This record gives sequence, C-alpha cells and structure tokens, in this order.
Amino acid sequence: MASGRGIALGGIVALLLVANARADEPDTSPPPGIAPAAMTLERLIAANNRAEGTLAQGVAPTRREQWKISNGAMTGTLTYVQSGKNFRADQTLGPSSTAWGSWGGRAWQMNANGQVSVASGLHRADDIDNSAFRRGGSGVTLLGRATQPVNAFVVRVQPSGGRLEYRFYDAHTFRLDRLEEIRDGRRVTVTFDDYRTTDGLVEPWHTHTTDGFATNDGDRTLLSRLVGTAVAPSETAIPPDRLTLIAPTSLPAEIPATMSGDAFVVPVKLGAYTVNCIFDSGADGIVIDSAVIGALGLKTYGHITSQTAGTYVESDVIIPAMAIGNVTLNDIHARSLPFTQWTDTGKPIAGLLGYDVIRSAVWHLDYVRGTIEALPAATFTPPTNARALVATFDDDVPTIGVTIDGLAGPAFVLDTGADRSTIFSRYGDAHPQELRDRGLGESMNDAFPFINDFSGVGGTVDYRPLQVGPVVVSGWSFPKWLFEMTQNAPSFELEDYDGLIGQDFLRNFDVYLDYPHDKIYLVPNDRFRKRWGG
Amino acid sequence: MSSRLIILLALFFALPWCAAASQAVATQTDQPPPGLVATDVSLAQVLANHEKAIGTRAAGQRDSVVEHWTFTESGMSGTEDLQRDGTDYRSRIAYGPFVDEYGQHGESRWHQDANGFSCLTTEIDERSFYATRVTEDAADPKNDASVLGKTLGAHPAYVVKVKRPGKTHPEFIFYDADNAQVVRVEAPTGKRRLIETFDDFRVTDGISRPWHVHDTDGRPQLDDDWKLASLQQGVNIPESTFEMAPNAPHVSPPELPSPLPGKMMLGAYIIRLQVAGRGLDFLLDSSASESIIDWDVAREMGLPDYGQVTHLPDGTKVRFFTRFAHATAAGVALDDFTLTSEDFAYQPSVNTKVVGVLGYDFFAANVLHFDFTNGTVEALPVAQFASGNPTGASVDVPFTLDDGLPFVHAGIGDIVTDRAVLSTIMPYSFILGSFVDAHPSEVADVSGKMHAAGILPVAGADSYGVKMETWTARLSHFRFALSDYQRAGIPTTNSPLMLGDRSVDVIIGTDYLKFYDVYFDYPYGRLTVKPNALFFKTFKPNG
Repeated sequence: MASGRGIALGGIVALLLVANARADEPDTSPPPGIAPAAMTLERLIAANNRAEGTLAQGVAPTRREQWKISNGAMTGTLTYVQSGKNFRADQTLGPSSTAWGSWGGRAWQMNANGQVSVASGLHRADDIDNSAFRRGGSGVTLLGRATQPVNAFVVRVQPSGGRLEYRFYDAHTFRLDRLEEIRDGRRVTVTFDDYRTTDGLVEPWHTHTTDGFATNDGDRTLLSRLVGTAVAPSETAIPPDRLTLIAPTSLPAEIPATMSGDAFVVPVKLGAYTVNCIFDSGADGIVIDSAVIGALGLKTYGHITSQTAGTYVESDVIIPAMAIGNVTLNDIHARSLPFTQWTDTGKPIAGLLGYDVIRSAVWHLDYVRGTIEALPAATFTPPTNARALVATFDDDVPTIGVTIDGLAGPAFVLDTGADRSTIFSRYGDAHPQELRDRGLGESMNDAFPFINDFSGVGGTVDYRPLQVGPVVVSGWSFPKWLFEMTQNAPSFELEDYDGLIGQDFLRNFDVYLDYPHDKIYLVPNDRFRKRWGG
Repeated sequence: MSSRLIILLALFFALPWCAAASQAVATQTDQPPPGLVATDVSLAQVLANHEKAIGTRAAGQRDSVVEHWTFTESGMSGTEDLQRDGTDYRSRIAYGPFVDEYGQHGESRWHQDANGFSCLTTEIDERSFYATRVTEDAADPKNDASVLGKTLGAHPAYVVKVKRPGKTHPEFIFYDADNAQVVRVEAPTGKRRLIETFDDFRVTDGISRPWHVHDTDGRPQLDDDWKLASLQQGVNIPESTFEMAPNAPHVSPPELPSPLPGKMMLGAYIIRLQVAGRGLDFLLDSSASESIIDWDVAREMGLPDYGQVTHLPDGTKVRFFTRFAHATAAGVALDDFTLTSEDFAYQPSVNTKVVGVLGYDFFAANVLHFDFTNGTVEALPVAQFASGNPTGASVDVPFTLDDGLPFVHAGIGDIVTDRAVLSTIMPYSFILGSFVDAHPSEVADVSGKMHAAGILPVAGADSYGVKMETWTARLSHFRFALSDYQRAGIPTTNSPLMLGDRSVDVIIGTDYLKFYDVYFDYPYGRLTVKPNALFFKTFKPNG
C-alpha cells in the first residue's frame, strides 16, 4: 500500500544565466611539473611591474583600440575607448552588437537587444585577485617554476573573496604568459602573447581563451592602439537603451497565461507556430527550443557549449516577430538551445521569457488568479500597500537582499521560474551556524535519506532540504522557511550568488516586476493572509 | 520494488502502442471528510500549535538512530531493525521466514534479497522508511491550506485541506484539538482513499513522534500497521555497520558441469526446475532482479503463503511471497528459495507453459554458460573460475550490476553508452527513449527521418506520453563486445525506461548475444564472451 508521504520537494528550476561550464567539479589542482625556483614572490612582483612598464610622462591616460575577435565560429570586432577609469567597449559578434563599460565607478552592460543595465558590483573576484597579486598579500603564493606549457614562474592566487588563479609569469621577460582560473565552475585558460610597447606600456596584442570546449574558444587580436588622444566624456558615459522592445502604445495589456504548478506559462506566437514559454525572471534572456527554431527556418549563429544544470549547445538567433497576446516584439535577439519541459498537464514548454521581455514593461503577476498584465513603465505607480524591493541586475536577473537568522544574503535571485527557494551550497557551507536546520529539513532527510534532484536547464541538480530562519524579506519576517540547498553544482549556482527566491515565496504575493526602475513590489495576497494574517 | 523488463517485453510487442495519458479528475475521494462542524480557529493558529507540539531537537545531538519496529503488512507480521547515522543506514526487515537487508554507505546503496544475495542498487529504498513520515504539507507555504472545520467525538480534530500546486487531488490533515499532533491524513490514491492514522506520541530528546502508524485504503485485508518498539537517538554506530552484507545464498552451484534442462524458444532461454516432483518451466532472465512464479501455479501447488493475504473477498489476486523448500535444475540446488507470486502468463508453444522467471538470485550463485550455437545453458562449478575463465579465448566485458541487472557498454552510432542492459529473454535488441532524446541524429529511421521525442514542442502538440513511436533505426554502427555491426537496423522507441535511478539506453537481446558463448560469472564479478562459429561465419576481420 502506498502511503502519502509528507512534503514533496523537487520540481523545475528554470534558472538560466550565461554560463559555460564543465559537467563536473573543475580541476583545481596546480599545473603539473612545477619545480622549486630561485625566486621570491616579492622579486617576481617587482619584476613584473617593471616588465609592464609605465605610461610615458606627459601622455594623457586615454586610449582607443580596435580589436579583431572571434568566439567559437563567430567573428567580429571590438572597439574600446578609455579615459582614466572610465571606459566603453562595443562589440559586434555574428549578428549581435553588445556593449559594456564603467563610468564614475559604475559598471554597465548593454545586451543584444540594446537594453542597458547597471551593475551593483556583485562580481569583484577579478579585482580582488589583481589587487592581492599587486600587494603580494594573503592568498598569493609562488609555487615554483614550470617549463611546460611555458617556461614561467607559477603563482597561485586565491585571496578571500577572489577566485582561484594560476598565473604564469615568463621566466625571462616576467610578463604574464598564461592564466588558468576557475570561473563559473570551469577551469579556463587564457594565453597572452605578442607583447608590444606603446607610450611606455607593454601589453599583449593577442589573447586566446579556452574552457576545454572547442566551440567556446575566444580569440582577440589588437589591430590598432592610440594612447593619449582626447576622449569626450560622452564617449564613455552610460548610454540609454538603444531600443524600445514593446511599444508603449500597446500597454497596458492582459497577457494570456496559465499556471503549471506555480509557474506562469505564456503562449508565444512565432511565425506559424505558437509555443508555450515560462515567464522566467531567472533567465537572463529569451530562450526558444532549437527544434522550434529549426522548424521556423530561422538562421542561427555560432554554437556555444553551455551549462547550467547540464551541458548543452546553444546558438544566437534573431526572431523577426514574437507575439505575446496583443504585445508584439520585432527582431528580437534570443538563444536557441535544446529546451523542452512539460506542464503539469503534459503540454510542452518550448522556451523561457526572461530579462529582455521583462525589462520592456512593468509586469503584474497575480499568483492567485494566475494572470499577468503588462503595464507601461513610464506611468506605473505601485499599489499603495506594496512593499518595494530594490533589485540589481549584474547578470540581467533581479537580485535582492534576504536576511536569514541575522545573516545578510545580499545576492538572492528572485526567480519566477524556480519551483522552490534555494540556498546555494557555497553560501550555505560558509555559514553553517546561521543556516543550521530548524528541524524540518532534518526530519525530511531522516525519513528519506536519499539524494534528491530537480530539473534545470540541460539536466538535474542535486539538493537536500534545509529549513532555516527567521527569514526576512522586505521587512516581512518568517520564523522558518524550507529551502532546497544545492549540492556540488557550481555551474548552476554561478559565482557570487547566495540562492534563489522562488515560487514558494512569490505565490503568496501579487508581484510587480518593475525592472525599468530597478524595483520589485510585493503585495500580500489571500494566501499570505490565510497563513500569516495581516 | 524490483526491476524487470518483462513488462517492457509485453509492451514492446503489443503494437501499436497507444498509451493514453492518465487523466486525473476530481472524484468522490476528493470530498472532505463528513461530519465536520465549523470552527473559527485559523490556519495560523493550527500550525503554530502544531509546531510547538512537535518540539525541537536538542542542539548538537548526533543525527543517528537505532529503531526497532514491529509491523503487519497484508496479514504477515514482521520486524524492522533500522540503524541510521546521517544518510548512512542499514535496515534488516524480517517478515515470516523472509529477511531482506538494505543499506547505504556514502554514495553506495545496496540490497540483500530474501535469497541472501547482495547487490549494489540505485533503486530508492522506500521500504526501510515506510513508517517514518513527515506530515508537514500544511506548514509548507508552497501549498494551499485552509481549515475546513472540526470533527466531533471524544477526540476532536481540526481538519486542514491541503492542495499542492499542480496536483489534482487534495489531502486532508487532522490536527488533534487537544495536543495539536497530526493524528490522521486522508489522501486519494487511485480510486480509493488512503487513510493514515498516527497515535502513541512520545517525546524523545525534544522531538515528539508517533510510535504507532496505521494505513488503510478501505480494504482491511491490506492494512499496514507499524509500531515502534524501541528508539535510541544520538548513538554511535560503527561505520562498518553500513557496508554491504556478504552473500548468504539459498542457491548452491553444481559440483560438476551441469547442462540445465531446457531450451531456447523464440529467442528466450527457458529452463525446467524440479519442484516437489513436478517439472516447471521458467524464463532464465538476466534482466530480472527477482524471481517470480505465477499466482495460480503457486496456489495449485500449495506453496506456503505464511499468513499473507493472497486474495481479496471479491477474488482479486494479491501478490505474495512464497518459497520452494527444495528445487533443482540439474546440479543446481535451491533451498528455501523465495519467489514472488503474481499473475504471470507466457506460453511460447502449445506444449510449453512458462510459469515464472528466475532472475538475479539464480544468476548470482552460479557461473552460467549460454551456448547460443546449441541453444543450451549450463551451470559450471564455481571453483574452476576462481582465477579466471578456464574455457579459453574469452573476452572480459566490463559491466556493473544495478539491482541485479547487468549494465554494459555499447556503441550506438558514434556514441558509447554505459547504460546497455543484457537480456537473455529478449529476442530483439532495441534502443530506448533516453538515448533517442539525447542523440536523435544517431537513430534516424531507415528513411532518414529523425524522431527525437517524437513531437515538435509547440503549444498544440500532443501531451507528453500520448504519442509513443517505434521505428527501425539505421545505425552507422552497433558495437558490443568484439562486434561492430555496421548499418544495423535496430528497433527503436521514444519511450524511456528507468531501472532504479538509471535510465536504460539500449537492451541487448539474444539476437546480438547469439554470436558468442556468454559466461555470466557473477560469483567472481566477471562477464566473459567467446566468439562462436556463427560469429566467424558472419564477421570478417577489418582490413
């Protein structure tokens, strides 16, 4: 006789960020063949400083560069302008034009659909590593000298808050020849060569990047460099959005949607076909199943091997027209990859509506009625009883702050595609005291001491239940909350994120996603009142 | 739950496939319990009181338990001894004359069956934790919960209706009005309503839990009843406790080479067991994790049921465990050999009625030599194989056993999978849905059409599971052992098959095994093959 066991966890997490990674834990071991060296770290750092040179006296700290680039099968150009600490890079690669930069200490990026987001400084590992090496500080160790693959002194860099790097400094020139680093769960190798001197600065004119997947190899060759020429402030300023994807005149609009569990499923018309997509704030873009793209006869660009929950190959695609109810988006840049999930009634889901769509309006998600409406951002006024969450968009997913047992969790992704809220193992393992189980997680583990997994894009992710608390979100305090804590899933977790706030939380609110103003508004609904009063 | 391919065999040859997706609809079993009266107690109050009643585990205590349970299941009584430390555990379940052991040590999970054979498995062991339940669905904000009312009587309870997202049927959880414990859960299961009741709550180290659990679906003959007789928490358990138990076999291999009486029919090996003076024909199935006998034959032979319910008052047959006191197949002896008795029918010819299956527990004790040239199988003295296969030019095939099923490597097109299962009863090899989904271009049909999952995932497409397809895939290569079958046509389906926690990509049946003499040498962990005359007649060396 089958019994009805208690809480059932697991489900679908449609978190999809730009991540390219290996299937397993990356190899973090030192490069082989390192022998003791007659060198000290201090002497090496000093020699490297000399080798890199200094900007000649009287030359303004500006530069203009033109690069030839490739990424996998796609080729393009990169234009770089810098003035002091401000810079802007414009890249064309295949059919896509993107940009990024920093202005006044604020990093920003423009996606292929021309939407600009400003980063909060979530990702600091590279800066921390560079700073640590310059200082020769904690976490920086000279391992010795290698003769293969280059004749170089090898330095291990892993300061607190940084990433693991192995840096290869040429044994004769003391220039950086090679870098092996752990990035998003992969071991990535970058090589530097063709060093040339421009106005006193010695820099590589060629770099090559590989993560072990040949389809992902990146290559950059500097074609020209001008140093010291005038750069106008407007050239490096944060730009406005290049396009408006949704015409304000088509808003407000009721969006047809159904619920699959607590996920909003939206029919999207693509040419002759209508496909179901999950409305997914955890996706940093638009994803359509590659079989559908093939059936539509759309041209795809590039083949990148990626990984979130599993490994898959994705391409860029431009969709001429996409209709979501009465809202039409034209010439939309999206990603094509193998993606088929199923609703709880067995209907196919062939894609994700992520950042690019959500960024184009204010979206009201009514989890009780199962409805979505798109509202014009320019005239949107939040409900008077709404509480606002400030969201940041370092990776084009809304990131909010959560407090658990007094511990700040500043980087939780608010993810409408996640069945349940999740704590990432790195965050959980780093704070065992605050994130100790409050009883239910252990009870569930005791009653079912087996590895669970949930479905993510491209595969599954192992997890265990963990009940923590009190959990505070936007001033609401919940004594206990049941999370899933991921196990050994660095590719799924990505760097610097603490976890996901998923549908188990969001279903208790009317949710307003106001990306244009960097805000999320929550209004308690009937479910909230029934369970917690108020 | 055991892993068997026999069901798939029936399915695969029962073309055309047209499985209808199960349409879950609200039924009478969804109705709230009768006789509830209104209450003004809120959900928040019910849950808050319940949380206090559960208690809190003492801080810092080791997460380990030693539990002794007594139970009755479908009329048969038994005991379970469970030792658990974190996620490592070992349980010994004794019921009637049968004993099963289960364990988990790190990432290794194992099972020793009632015939005394141990095997690693990816199968989830729900049996050892049957009575240990978490009944906190109402407290989970993922679910909709509402207080429906209060029962009357000596022990009134608040009834909370819980609906999980995406689920058709609700469950009803009863919270004792006095002590706030969950004392009853009612949940639809199929056409029936499963009622779980909990009582005899006791507090151990701060946590309250029921020491008595009873399940019924309205058929008292099938009721389960579990009582916790003793509980220790926070104890130190030696790590060696969790290691896989050594074999304690109920099958004895022969002293001399013993051709097993039987024959190969329709691509499947059938052997005859002598049981109580009768000759009974069984499939000899490498892809079965347990042995079974037909229910009618077991009853007709008067095989013991040890008090288990064997049928319901309306005549419905109920699966039960039974034993052969003694059986032989040539020199192989089976003593107190356990089988599952259930409906089984297979009659490959007018004169041959197969009454069951001999699975892993028969293979595990023996070295079995399958001679496809002559259609025979023999059991060989195990000792002769202690230092390797003594029969000559044999080739070891790497394999793993999962719940008794042999998984080997096979090449399909340009892909190598380690999820190929060898079957001595499947007359045809075939490729399954997990491989098709992952590598559709390798299994295009003879016309070149790709099938993949069988549908384009557009909104108007058929629902998942409705449209199963079968076709003959034209493989550029089909590699197994020494053979590379080029441009091979292999039956293929988009339907997946899970055995334990592992999906099966391909079944290698006797149509491809027949080029070899195959030695299943489980006692020494070997699977060896030797090309036979048909191999050399069929294949030419490359170059």
